[in-house]
Amino acid sequence: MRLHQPLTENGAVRSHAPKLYSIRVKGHLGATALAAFPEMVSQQRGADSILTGILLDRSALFGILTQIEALGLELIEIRRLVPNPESAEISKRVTS
Amino acid sequence: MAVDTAHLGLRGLIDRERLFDTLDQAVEKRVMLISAPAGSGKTSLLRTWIDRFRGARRVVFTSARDAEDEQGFWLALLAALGSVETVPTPTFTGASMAERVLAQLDENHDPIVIAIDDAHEFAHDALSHIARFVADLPAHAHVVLVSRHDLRLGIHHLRLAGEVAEIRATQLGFTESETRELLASSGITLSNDAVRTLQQRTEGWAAGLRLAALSLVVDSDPEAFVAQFSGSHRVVAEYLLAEMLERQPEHVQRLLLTTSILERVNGELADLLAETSGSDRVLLGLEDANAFVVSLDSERTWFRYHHLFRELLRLELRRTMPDRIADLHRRAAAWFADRGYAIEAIRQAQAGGDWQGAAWMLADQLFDLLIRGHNETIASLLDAFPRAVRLDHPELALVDAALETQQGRFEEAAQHLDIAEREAQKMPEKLQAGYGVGIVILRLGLARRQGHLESVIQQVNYLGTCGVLRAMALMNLGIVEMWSGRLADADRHLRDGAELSEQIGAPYLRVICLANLGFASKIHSFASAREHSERAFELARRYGWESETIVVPALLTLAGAPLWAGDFSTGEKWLERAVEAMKPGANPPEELLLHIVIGMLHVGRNRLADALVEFAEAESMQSRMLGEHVLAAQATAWAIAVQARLGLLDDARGSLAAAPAPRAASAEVRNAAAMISLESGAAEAALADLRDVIEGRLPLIHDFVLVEAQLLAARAYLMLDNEPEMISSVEKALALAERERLLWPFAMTGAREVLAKVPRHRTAHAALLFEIVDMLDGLSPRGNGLPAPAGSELSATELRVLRYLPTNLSRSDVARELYVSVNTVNTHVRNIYSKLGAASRTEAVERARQLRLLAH
Repeated sequence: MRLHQPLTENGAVRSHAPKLYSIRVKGHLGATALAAFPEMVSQQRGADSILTGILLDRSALFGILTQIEALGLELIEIRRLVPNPESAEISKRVTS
Repeated sequence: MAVDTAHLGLRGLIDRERLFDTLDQAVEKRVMLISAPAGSGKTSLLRTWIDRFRGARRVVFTSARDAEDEQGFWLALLAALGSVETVPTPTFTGASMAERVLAQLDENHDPIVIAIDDAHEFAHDALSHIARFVADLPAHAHVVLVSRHDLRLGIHHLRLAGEVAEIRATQLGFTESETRELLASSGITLSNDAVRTLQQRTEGWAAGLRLAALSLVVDSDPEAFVAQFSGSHRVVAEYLLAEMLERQPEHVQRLLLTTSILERVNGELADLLAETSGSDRVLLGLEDANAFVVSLDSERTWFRYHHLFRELLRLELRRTMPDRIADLHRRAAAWFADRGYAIEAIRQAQAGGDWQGAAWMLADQLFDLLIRGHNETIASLLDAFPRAVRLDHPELALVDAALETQQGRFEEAAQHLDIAEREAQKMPEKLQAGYGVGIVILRLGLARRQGHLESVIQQVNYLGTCGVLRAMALMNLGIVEMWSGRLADADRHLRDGAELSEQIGAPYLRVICLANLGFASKIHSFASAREHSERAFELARRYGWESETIVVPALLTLAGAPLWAGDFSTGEKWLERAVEAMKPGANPPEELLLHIVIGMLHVGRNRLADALVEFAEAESMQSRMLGEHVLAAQATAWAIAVQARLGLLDDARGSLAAAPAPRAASAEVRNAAAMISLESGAAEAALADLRDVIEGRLPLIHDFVLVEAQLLAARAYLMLDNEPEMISSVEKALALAERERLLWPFAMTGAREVLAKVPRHRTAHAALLFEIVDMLDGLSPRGNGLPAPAGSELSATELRVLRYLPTNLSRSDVARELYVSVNTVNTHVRNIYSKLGAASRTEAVERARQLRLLAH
């Protein structure tokens, strides 16, 4: 999958900056399954779980996707979040 | 590992008739892809289906997961196909192994199904070999590829041709009735409602249903279990695993969790990690209960866990006993190391963070792994060390050097060897001796590939006087002497090396010695060179090595002999094999020879421009070597001569002026200088260039240099209208050429015109002369039916072609002149010969002149 790459002010592609992602999978993840995603914070949303976290680069993202595949989880949605005050708060929680 | 169908671990699996019908139809296609997420029941379905037609059809079941690496996969597949044992070599390539499997499939034309499980585990390269393999399958073979996700195989053409069938997740899901049957096979009976609820909650997901069954079978109130499960939003697998574990006795729980760090487990290892006893019985019991444990061998000693199950267990281990994990890995590493499972031992040591131990083991096992062709595994083990650790562990520099040598990165390899040597004293004493030998062997290999005689001689002295080290020393010494032109020494050392290798049972070294002995023994005769090369090739074939790089020197000798004798199609066949087996970049001296032989073929086929590219390429290989290659002067000389013949006289003079001094003075390059003079119309200068060669004042690498010189002299005398000297030179060339059948120099020197002027009654080698003329005309001797009566009328186009026959233009030149293809010219020439009853260009011209079709 080719993710959109934002341009910096001078027009260069900035592909290596860490980015905030939110990944929705079906079902509530318990402690065991969450051990597979130490870099993500989990929230329950209805019957799904939303994993949110700052991922260093695309390799990190694909690592998460591989883990989802290995656990047989059903992937529903992946979003890259545009930085705003709320996500800044999440990223603080993730990194603290 | 591939298993025969007698052992498929079918305990507790149900027959899914509805899917069997689908598979029965799908397998008629060349490829069947089963693509569905983890735990969908792909493998179980495949195993039960295969079991049903056991005996009725040949089936091989393999898994990408069971093999240590790609090599292991192909070897297991070969073994399962009943091939004679293939012994891996240091130059293993997946592509060549795939070829070998295809060849093996051609041995038996009964229909066969090859099932490959876990295909998503193949690395990118391995997958591309699988794709080629599938594309080249013979019609009686069918492949089933099982994977967690769609594979990028690039087999669209097969898809378009309707040769691909697919089974996907929706088809694999358990229906209600299949759910009921699955539960029943474990002795569980549920109400229809509960079965439906369970099926809906798991969405028919096989792993979920099997996990549920494991809990249900011991639960006192199965209906309540189902109700509770369906009320939970927890992820199915996680929920059910927790429930299942909770219902196991404590020692079983511990066993499952602690052994989840392993790719495969046996009773002894499980006892060690779980600190218990009797684990083998527990593992057998779990397999019998269909608890995601499958035995890997018919004795049921090794087991492995279903991926998904193992993944969950590992996570649970990480959550509940995080501080035990490193220790578990280290204990497993020690166990594997004690029993000689080097690769698993190193992987476990790395996983346990025991970098020191892992680094020593890798350095210690390096040669064993190299000689068995585990290059890719070595590279992946090396990559698994963090950067900082690699800097701290100089013994890993040895590993770097080994890989770099094989990839032809000689400078980096030499630097890493220096580091390894400098840091040797940091090694524990008991490892130092082996480590030192390792450095010497790598230095030898490096020096051999760079043709550096002094360095080889120096290193050889460090190796002992007996055993495998002595054999390696002789092999390296012989080869580097050979490339340095000391053929007599090379011949002796390679013979000794071959003999010693046989005594100590080292066939790999023996093949290398024999393969090179062919070239080295050319000083005796081409016949003995061919004999050695054939022996090397036969021996290699016995071990399944016939397309490995080690046989390249033998293949080149086998290609060279017919090329010298003018049999270009036989030469080309061997040459094709050599090109395929050669790994570019890793062995400059061999590659130099390869390009020379390819260039010879082009010259024989009158493709001078192509020949020039090859000779120049050969010459460029010298820059990657430290010592002068025995054929470096020849490569330079033929590149110059071909430039001259192509009319690139300024380029040729430039190349001649640029040749380094000792090479410029060689007999080979004198011949090339003479060619420039001839093509510039300076016959006297050419004779002056040739004088030292012809009068024996320069060392000759072989008689062919002299044959060449005599032919060039003959061309000069022709230009000077000195017929007696011209005939005398041709006669000397023919006499020299007769013994070893050196026909090729006649093509190289452009001697066609000269030969036409030699009256047949004036030579004692008339038969040879005819043969050479036929070769130069690109003809096999008379044979295309009976010649038509002389004088059959030539067509207008044939007459046009005929006009070019007395000239020295090649057929492609004629084609260009007439704006037609070479094939068209060939057809016309054939017709002309046939209508004139001529066997060669000269005869055709003679007959045409007699018939006044051509002016005199």
